[in-house]
Parts: sequence; structure tokens; C-alpha cells
Amino acid sequence: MNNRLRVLRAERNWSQAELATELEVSRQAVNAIETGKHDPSLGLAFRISRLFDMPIEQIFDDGHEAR
Amino acid sequence: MAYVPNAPDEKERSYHYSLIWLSACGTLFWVANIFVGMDNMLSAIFFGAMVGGPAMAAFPNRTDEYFRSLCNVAMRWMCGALAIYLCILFLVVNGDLAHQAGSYLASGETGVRRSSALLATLDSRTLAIGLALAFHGGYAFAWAHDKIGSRP
Repeated sequence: MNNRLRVLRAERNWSQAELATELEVSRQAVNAIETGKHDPSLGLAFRISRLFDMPIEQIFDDGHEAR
Repeated sequence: MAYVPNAPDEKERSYHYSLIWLSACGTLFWVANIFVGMDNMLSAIFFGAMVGGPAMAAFPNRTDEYFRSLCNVAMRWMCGALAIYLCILFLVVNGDLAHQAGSYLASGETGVRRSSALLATLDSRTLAIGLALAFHGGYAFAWAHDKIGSRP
């Protein structure tokens, strides 16, 4: 799944470790999500959404158009 | 955000990713030790190290979801190895049973016994090391798959 996490993090000048602390995960998990190797759970996706104050759809893209 | 006593921080969560490699080293040491046959304090310590990986997978409450996803692959490999071993035992034991039944039907002899199953039966230590090896092999595979396939 594609996502804009890296861009959003860069816009705020956060390191992966800083973002990981905010999201209560490890730096490795942030890296895996950013590189599309790991799809976050619904709970983590909501935490990311709340942290960046954006809807989930604007951060994650599963490649399907909304009906 | 509410204060949660003893909540793991980022460093502790990342620490698990390092700790599992120590467990993998313990497993590799013991695989080598099956052939070398060392029996000293070092081998006892490495048995302790070997516990780490499966223990973290079994009690993952202080780990994060990515670590758990890697451990899921590791556990699938371990279950796969166990399934293959049990399948081999099933075939061999049934072969023994069929041999006895065949002898009885053909000649009426009841005392014919074949125990090929003994050849396929491992001792508990070797089985544990084999399962731990499958576990760490699965973890290493998942980790390497993510590392090599990562986008820059």
C-alpha cells in the first residue's frame, strides 16, 4: 500500500525515531510503513491520521478509487 | 496523552529487533554443537540465548506490530517444519503398521515387528533446536525480504 508518511514526516522535520515515539512503535516499524513493506493495523492508521490531522485516505492509498 | 506506567519507549521497542539476533546466534551455535559436541558452560549459556526469539513471539506485549508481523512469518516456518516432521512420522509409523498387518494376512504370523519409526524419531533436544532453527530462519527470511525489497 502506498502512503505519504515519509513526505508528511519530512515536512515536519521529524526523524523516524521521533515519529516512532509519537506513534508508540519502533523506528523499524516506521521505516517498514514508509517503504510500503508493512501495512499498519487499523489502530495505528488512526493514530497516524490523528497525529497529522488528516483523513486516513489522504495518507494511505490502496490503489482503489472510492465509489 | 495519558501516562502509562512502565510503558515501553521507542528504544525498548527497537531493542527487541537486536535481541532476536542474539537468540538466532544461540540457535546457530547449538546447530553447530550437534556436530561438534561441546559440553561446557558456553553451550549452557547459548541454550539460554536461544529462548529469546520464541519467548518474544509468545509474549509480544512490549513489542510493536511490525516485529509481531516478522514473528508471524517465523512462527509459520516453525509450524511448517513441525508439520513436515509429523508428516514423515505419520508415513513411517503407518508403514510399520501396514508391514505388521501384511505379515499377519500373508502368513498368519503375529510376532513380526518393524520399527522404522525409531529411525525418524528425534530426541527432544534435537527437535527443539530444529524448531528454533526454523523459527529464526523464518524471521531472517522476512527481515531480509523487507531489507532487500525496500525502496530507497
